[in-house]
Amino acid sequence: MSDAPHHYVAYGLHVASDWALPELTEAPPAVAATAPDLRVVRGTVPDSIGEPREQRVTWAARPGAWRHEIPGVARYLVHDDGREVVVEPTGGTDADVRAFLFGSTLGAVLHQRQLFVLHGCAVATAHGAVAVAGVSGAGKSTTLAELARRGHPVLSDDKTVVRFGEAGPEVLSGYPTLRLWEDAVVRLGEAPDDLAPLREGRRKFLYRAPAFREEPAPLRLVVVLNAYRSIAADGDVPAVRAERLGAHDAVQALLLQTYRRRIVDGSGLRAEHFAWTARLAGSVPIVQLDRPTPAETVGAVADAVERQLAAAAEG
Amino acid sequence: MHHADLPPDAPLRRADRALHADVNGTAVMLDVEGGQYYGLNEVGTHIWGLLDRPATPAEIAADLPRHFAVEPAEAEAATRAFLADLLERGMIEPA
Repeated sequence: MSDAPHHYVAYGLHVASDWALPELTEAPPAVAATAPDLRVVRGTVPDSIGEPREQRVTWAARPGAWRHEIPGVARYLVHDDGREVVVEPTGGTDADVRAFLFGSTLGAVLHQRQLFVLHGCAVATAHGAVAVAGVSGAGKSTTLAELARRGHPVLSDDKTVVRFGEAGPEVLSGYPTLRLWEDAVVRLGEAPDDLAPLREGRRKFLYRAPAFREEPAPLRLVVVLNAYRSIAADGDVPAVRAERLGAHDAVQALLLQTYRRRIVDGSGLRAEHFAWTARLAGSVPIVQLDRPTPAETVGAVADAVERQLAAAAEG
Repeated sequence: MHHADLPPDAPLRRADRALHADVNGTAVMLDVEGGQYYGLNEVGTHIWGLLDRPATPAEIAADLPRHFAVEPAEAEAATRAFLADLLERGMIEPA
């Protein structure tokens, strides 16, 4: 039994939190009564975690500890093998504190727990789950919105966790709140002004998925979305191209699409992560989808994802 | 290209920092220290397989014509170039 006032489930974890985290699914009473897998506590974050193995402007990592500081918002410490997050607000609103909690901080939690985390989203379909990865600006959010609009339940957004079960890789259910850019919100038939911005004054919004799957789903396909500039004459829009990647390129793509791979390196998990990457590349097709931009291709991208998924399901 | 520092009869072995995995029959490799990723082609995968235990450049070069359509001289040159590359990157070392 935990004394924390709030209990949730995300990525198969029972999260006990000192804060209300409305982005997450509330834990059923039977889960809330158990010992938590992850504690989110209010506390004091040390100025340093000692000698970091990797660091960036706002964070530092070493095996067993990750420290993040957003000036004027909060400081975060992830430690105890991803079993505890200490949050020390330093002036941010609750929404701002949560925005960074659900970004890299949650990523560090998942990495420390030795889970395989792709930077991308996932939906469940009749053919199994598909993960859509890609760099910022590749169109993941818009693609997710379109796949959700077509009725595919959402599994995760931004951070997609793959676990290797006895029956093969599966995608864990994350949480139902998506971070969508304005165009994706409009695509889902919503008015951005009715939604909460991710952070004060940003054009990225929190949106509750119309359908969400709370159980894991077998992973059948990873799509790597790649936007390329095209200059086309009127009415001559280049097609969306799909290419199944060979072993080398598949592993390389998965390494590049890993969520904040530097956190993996800093956590001393490079070898484990490489083994999972190779295992995933050997288990499901890794397909690169090239979409021309600025052409409107979201429908064609979603069509291609569904087609590739059907093909993967047939083996 | 001439690799004077690669004696044909000096055994070589895989370095500890060279992590490798098999993906559907193709070897992929990661330098766990530097984080650099390498993919190996079919011949490279075969040679990496031979380095499962210490092997000399001469032994490896002699093995290739049995598995690939190459002349012995061509096999020797390709082997030396590949091994010199792996050695320079720290993926193999003198045994």
